[in-house]
Amino acid sequence: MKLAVLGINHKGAPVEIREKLAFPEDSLADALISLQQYCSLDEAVVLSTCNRVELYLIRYDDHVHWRDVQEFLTSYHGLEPDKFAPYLYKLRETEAIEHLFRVAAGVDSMVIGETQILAQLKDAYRLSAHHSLTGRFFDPLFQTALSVAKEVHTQTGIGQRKVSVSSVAVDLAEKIFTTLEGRSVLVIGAGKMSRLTLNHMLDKGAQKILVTNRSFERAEALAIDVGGQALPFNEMEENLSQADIVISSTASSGIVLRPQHLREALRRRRYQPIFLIDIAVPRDIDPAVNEIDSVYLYDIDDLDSVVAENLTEREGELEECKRLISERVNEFVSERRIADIGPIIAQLTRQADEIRQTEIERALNKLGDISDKDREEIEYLTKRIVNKILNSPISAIREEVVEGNGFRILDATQKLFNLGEENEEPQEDAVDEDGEMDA
Amino acid sequence: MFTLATLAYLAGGIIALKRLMSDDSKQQATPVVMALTGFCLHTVSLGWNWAESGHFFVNTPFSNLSFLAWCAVLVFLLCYWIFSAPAALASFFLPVVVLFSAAALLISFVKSSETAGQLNWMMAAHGILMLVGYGAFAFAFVTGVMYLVQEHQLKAKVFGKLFRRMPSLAILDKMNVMAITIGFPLYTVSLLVAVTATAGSGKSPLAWVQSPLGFLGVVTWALYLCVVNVRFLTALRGKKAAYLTVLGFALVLFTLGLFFSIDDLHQNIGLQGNMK
Repeated sequence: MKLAVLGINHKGAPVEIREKLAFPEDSLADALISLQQYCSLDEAVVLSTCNRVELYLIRYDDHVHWRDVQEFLTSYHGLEPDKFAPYLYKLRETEAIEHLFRVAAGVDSMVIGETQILAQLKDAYRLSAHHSLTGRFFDPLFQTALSVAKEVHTQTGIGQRKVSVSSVAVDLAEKIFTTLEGRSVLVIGAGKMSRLTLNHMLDKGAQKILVTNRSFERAEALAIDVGGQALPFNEMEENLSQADIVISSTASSGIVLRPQHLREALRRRRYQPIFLIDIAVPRDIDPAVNEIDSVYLYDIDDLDSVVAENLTEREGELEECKRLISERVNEFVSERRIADIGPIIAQLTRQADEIRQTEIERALNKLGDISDKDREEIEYLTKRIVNKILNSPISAIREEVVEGNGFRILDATQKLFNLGEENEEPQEDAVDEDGEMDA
Repeated sequence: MFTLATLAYLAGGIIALKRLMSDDSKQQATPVVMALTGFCLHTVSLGWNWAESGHFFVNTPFSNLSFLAWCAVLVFLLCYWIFSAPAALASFFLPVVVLFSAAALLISFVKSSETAGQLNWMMAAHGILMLVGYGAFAFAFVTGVMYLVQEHQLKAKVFGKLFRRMPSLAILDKMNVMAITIGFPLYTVSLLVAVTATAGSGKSPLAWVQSPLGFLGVVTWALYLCVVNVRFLTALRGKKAAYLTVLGFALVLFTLGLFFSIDDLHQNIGLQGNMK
């Protein structure tokens, strides 16, 4: 099997380069088929996201030629080859498998531990499968990658801490209210960030939504979108007491909510806690409100600092993730190697059995009439002899292959037993056409 | 058996505190399982003592503290089960239980020759109700402390492991309310039984208020009445209610200390046997 990965990502290439190599979603299927034909591939998967473009490629009978792939990329995107070549990474075999597992687990992502990449990888794999561009190698490889990603997320803390402002806000709200189910949210200012945070709250079960904005039309538009109720801006204060959570993100240059507003709201709501999220710059809510009992105010800097802290925590999990992935890569490679030697072992045992049967026939002809019982005894005896002779070399082959020394021992086996060339050789020591040693 | 139960509480407390500050999110329920194990052993121990003495409730410092610890764990397990509370609750609560149990053990060593006070049924009911109430107040105290800690973390924006492991303010508040709801009526009935028993002994029903212990009992009751009032009538909650429950339990501890050291009240009004 000749697995190769050629790619470009956020770590090594600026967005100006990445965007030129990206495949638009609507033309991805065409690109995939063109790539397969241009490079004579047996299996291919193209992963194209805003942070990476990666081509996972296989040829059963030969190496994937980097030159062909680069030529394809150049011609497909209408670029000069030398312009982006320095940004590309090329990986083969075990390194390529490890890279895929890391990508799937979000270990290689810009936001470590994010799970969006897993969905993108699934889509890329499904597209290839749909066009019959996955098979005996990519099917198990990608399925293993997806299960390893899930394992990494459950066994380590890489995905535990929230790393977006809106999800951190939801987490904090749950630390106050336990659950957001049935909670009411007042949105002040109908901006993009408010909408994003509100969507997270709605996903978590927030029900009564009030929206207010200086422009009532914009408040109405957002209220209709989220199934809430729009309020005139001048009615905000009297409706404040209805809200368990307030998301404020107006373009106002001054303070919108002051301590006296909160004190009055608290009194009306019989001192039930209020969670205030001020994501406006300049701030909408007077920081002094945080001094009031049962009022919890978080501004954008507070939320950003939680995000930064959580990202650091996720980075702390990287070593454990890499160790786990490395274990799974070794297991996968061993399983594949054993699967790869299956045909050789089958050929060896088939050949031995053919010899056994030929010799039995010859012997039976010489022996003349013998009873069925004697014939069965001879069959049984010869089978045992063949099995005993082959058992030890087959075990040794398996062990060596799992250890990664399969190339020499399989070569020797083929020569010793005069086996045909119908099987592929492992790639450990292969040299590609660019003169590079394969991984 | 009681020593084994104490060891189970101690082990549960240590594991809970260790888990509270660790990244290990697995087997968080182990301390609760330890608490349950300790509770079962403790129940067997109480049953054993009952069978041995022939009285369900006997009045010795050891049996009082042991029964108090048992009630506290019962309230804890009930609330843990009802509210599906995070196991972090055990980190705060089991040390308090260990404190009661250890004090009981210590007293049993120091006063090993002490004989049990023989109580009439009214005073036994008074003791049982009061100790169950104290157990509930102990739980309210712990949830109050946890509320104050978590509230401080939310206000000060401190988001360490402790913050992540601790329950939400709403759960802590609900558990606090539940503990007070259990504890206050029992404590009230316990005092009423004491008043009735005093009247039955031919003394003035308010005679016991004149002793320090009786006076403290009334002050404690008034404080918890204030908590109930704050909770259910004025609807004030959160920090103020938490502070009141902490203060209330401080009074309970002081009263208990006084009871074990200079119990003038029960002797003066003739309701106590040969305890001292």
